[in-house]
Amino acid sequence: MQSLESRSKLSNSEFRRDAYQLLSECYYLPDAGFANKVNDLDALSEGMYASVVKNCLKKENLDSLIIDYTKLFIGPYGLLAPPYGSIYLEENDRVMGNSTMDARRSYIEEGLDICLKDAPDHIAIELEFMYFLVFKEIEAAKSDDYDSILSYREKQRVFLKNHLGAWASDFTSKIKASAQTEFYKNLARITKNFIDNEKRNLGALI
Amino acid sequence: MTMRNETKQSGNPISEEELMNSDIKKLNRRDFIKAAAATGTAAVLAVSLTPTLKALAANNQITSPADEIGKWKPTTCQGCTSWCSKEVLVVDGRAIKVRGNANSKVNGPASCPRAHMALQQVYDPDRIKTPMKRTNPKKGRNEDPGFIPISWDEALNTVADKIMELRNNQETYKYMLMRGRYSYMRDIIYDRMTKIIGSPNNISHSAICAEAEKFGPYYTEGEWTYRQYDVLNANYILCWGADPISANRQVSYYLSAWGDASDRATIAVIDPRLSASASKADEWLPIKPGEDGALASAMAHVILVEGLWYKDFVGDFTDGINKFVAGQNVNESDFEEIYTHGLVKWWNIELKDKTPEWAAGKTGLPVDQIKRVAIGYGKAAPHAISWVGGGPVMQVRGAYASMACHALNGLVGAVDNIGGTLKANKEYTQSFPGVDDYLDDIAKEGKSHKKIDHRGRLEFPALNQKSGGGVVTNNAADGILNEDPNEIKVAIGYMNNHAFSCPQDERWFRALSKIPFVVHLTTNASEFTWFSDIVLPSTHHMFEKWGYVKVHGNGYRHVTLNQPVIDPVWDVRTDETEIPWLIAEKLADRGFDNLLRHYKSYIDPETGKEPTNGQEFALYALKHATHKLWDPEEYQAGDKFNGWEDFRSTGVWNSAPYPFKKRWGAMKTDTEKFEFYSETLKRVLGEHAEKHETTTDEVLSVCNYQARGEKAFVPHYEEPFTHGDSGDLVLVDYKSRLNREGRSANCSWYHEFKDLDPGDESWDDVAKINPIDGKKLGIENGDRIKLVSPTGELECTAKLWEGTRPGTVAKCYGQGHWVYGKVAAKEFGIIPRGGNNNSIIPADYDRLSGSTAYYGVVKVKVEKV
Repeated sequence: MQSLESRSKLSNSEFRRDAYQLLSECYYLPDAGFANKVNDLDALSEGMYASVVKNCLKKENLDSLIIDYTKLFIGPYGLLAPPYGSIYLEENDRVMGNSTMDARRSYIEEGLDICLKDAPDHIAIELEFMYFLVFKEIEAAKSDDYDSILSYREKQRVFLKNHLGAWASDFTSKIKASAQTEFYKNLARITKNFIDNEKRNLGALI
Repeated sequence: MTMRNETKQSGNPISEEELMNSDIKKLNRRDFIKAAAATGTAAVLAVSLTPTLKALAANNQITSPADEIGKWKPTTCQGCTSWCSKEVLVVDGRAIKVRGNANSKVNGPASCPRAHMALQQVYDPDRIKTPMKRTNPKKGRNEDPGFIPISWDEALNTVADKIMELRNNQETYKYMLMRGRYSYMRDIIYDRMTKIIGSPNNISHSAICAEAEKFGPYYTEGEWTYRQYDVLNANYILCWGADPISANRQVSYYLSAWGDASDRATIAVIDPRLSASASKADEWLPIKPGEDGALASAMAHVILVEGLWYKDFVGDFTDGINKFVAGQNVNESDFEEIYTHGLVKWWNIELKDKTPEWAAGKTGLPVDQIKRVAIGYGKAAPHAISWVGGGPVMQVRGAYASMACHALNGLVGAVDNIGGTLKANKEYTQSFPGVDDYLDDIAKEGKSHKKIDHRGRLEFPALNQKSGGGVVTNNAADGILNEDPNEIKVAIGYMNNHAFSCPQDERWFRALSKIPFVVHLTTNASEFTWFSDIVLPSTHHMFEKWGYVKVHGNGYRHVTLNQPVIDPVWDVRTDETEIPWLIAEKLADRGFDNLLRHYKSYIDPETGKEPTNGQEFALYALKHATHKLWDPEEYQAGDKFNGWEDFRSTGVWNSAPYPFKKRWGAMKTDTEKFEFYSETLKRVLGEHAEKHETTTDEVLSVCNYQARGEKAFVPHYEEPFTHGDSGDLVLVDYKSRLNREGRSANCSWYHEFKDLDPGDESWDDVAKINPIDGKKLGIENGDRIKLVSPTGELECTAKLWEGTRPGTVAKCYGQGHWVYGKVAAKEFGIIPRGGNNNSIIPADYDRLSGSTAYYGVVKVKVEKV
């Protein structure tokens, strides 16, 4: 692991990029390597959540995380916090709505498409897309391509405004209300705070 | 470096002060840096030139943005047994709209309301998204299964291990396959797989559908099937409990034709509640439940006394003088029949005393209405349809009501006639390869055991063409519970939900809990799933699956394809083809390759190739089954195609037009005639009695019928048999026009538009009580009430409504799910939304057909909550 000092040379964009990627990872079904992600999250949330997260790490085994994840995000008996944008942005509680297709169009415009079996507006995918946009922004910064920097910033703002940022708050409230494990309760808080911060920073407040 | 500097550097407008004042103040940059430092991938990313993507991937093929216009793609709706050919508008791989496939001569461009709800089904967030396994070893109504996701590989390995255990212990007869709705790919999983594993226990849903509806036609005209009705040429349409513009069959077609039909025909609907069709009919006959046989006998009586039978079909008295006089016997030799058999016997045994006055006392209908309808119907001969729905016949003793109501078609010569009742046109699909070469000794021995539903036993004749020829679906629960004839150790169910759709549902809760290993192939987590060990996510039949169905209406039969018209959102597989193939592969891995070898014999008729995976298998099997429809070299009749692609892109094949009167004198009965005295039933019932070394009278007694002697062989009236003597009102169960066979309760449109069913309310489940009874019972509109029967209770809302016959309570089937999804259940897994009628209907049967009784079978108490 690199020292904190050397890592601190990361720009604001770089840690935003890494945060998006980390959060995206956290919305996959937990597996054997999940403890590492919890550690990452613990580090991410140092201060306000550190002690809580560390405690829940000790208490929670993988099975209870899997069961909690299933009830929150997969169902069938539960789906207590549907991880799909359309559920929050549209009527009738369905996936694959117009907003979903709009999210997918955003990916396609970047030369991307989803490569796993799920709806394109799944929280993990939208977080990953934001990670991608920030990554591209950093790339542009390295070559001093200011137009591209601004362009990717704008894309982030728009996507956050129309998608991720528009439903993350309702989504994370549902997690907080229903999660049985401290881990997912804290993940919800961290996600909400991070996205709220992003919305402020990018001027994507609705 | 300060945070302010940082934010300025990155062009971030937020001030430190703002940041500190927000509740995210602790989540500062330093935390992110630390987080990133702790992430292995992040460390790499710091120097990486390409993003590390997981869910997204570069897709250079997509150069243009959205395919905004979309394409109409043909497929099939199986939201009910209409089985309409449909087209789905697909934009960017997503289904947007549904319309009738105009290429179909059965349904044309028409669509019923429920077809559109398929869109809400396929994009239901509560669908099963991945294979799952149970983590709670305890099973029961109050035991949350604790399902967790597993891989397809793990799921299939587990299933294969359990089947191999049965094979290794030579107890394959303890395997069971339960089939709900199906396409005609069904035999791959239902028949072939069950036989090759080695079990007799493939149990279909048919007896909880409408087998009694087929009983009357079979034992009069030799057709164990549903009928089609030539409504546009009819002068009279008599509907027995049938609600053609709402439920029943070919609803899209009849909806589109009903206006024209009613311009020409008089329409009379016999139903204790004001159905959608009754509300648009010329006559509504709000009959007492279970008394339909009395009305049918009285109508036949009137038609004969008035001399209105159709003489070109039935024949006449040799001297031309009508000797049918109430109360008087007729000499058989005085009447010369043409295409019918036993008219005078029927009169002498059953009809001569069945006057309208007698029937009025039984049915609660006015004498003059009975006469008017009978005469009107008789005068319309031969263009007079007697349309038998499930209501009068899916009852205890319903077999004879089925015969009595259907026999009217024979009396007026409407059978196989213009403006009458027709069978299915000929079609040319072919069956899948046979299994004989793939049955080993274990399978042969296993298969020889008796079935779990007790069909063919003395008390369950299930006379689908022979003793035990039919199924007794709902009795399988008792077979499982009592381990009679043996225990069931491994069960697979697909597209079924017996724990909801079978009366006295709690028997299924216990039965499924008792089976050590249950697998459910399903789109949604239903009540059946609750008791399962492995859940396999299945494709939606209308959007994600290869298959075909065949159905008749409008004088044609069509064969319409189920097609995968969209990319499934989740990791689903097809229940009838892909999943059996995948199981077969796993069994082969374990040294038992008979099933896989069998499936590999389904070669592609176009290329001669054998399938190498489940998807190829599904497609080749379909091409094989429909080969004669699309291959010009195999052409038989009806629509002609240039090849598979031509057929596939059209989506539907239509038969030749209906050959009217072709069956007159060539019916598949023992006499080849339309039998008013059923020699066919006499033989089959006799064979059943002989099998059990007893008499037909004893069979009838054991099976709870009233007829004895010759009466058993003619259409006749039997008194209704109703449980719950101390109840207040007879339950009138019926089907919603939005039900999609009970699979639509998790669609918000179902609840939003529930008031499309006459008397019903949006977002509620109402029991409709006549205001007269409401006053007697002290029930007011909107009261929360309980309906209590000897076998259970349910809670719902009271609605005072004149459309319910006094003495009855009408409640629609379909709600009362305690699972299925967040919309369907009030509190998922715990509290149902509305009440399931099957909680209060006792498990009882029309034993001659094997049918489960749903109607007129129980009196319930009404209690305020």
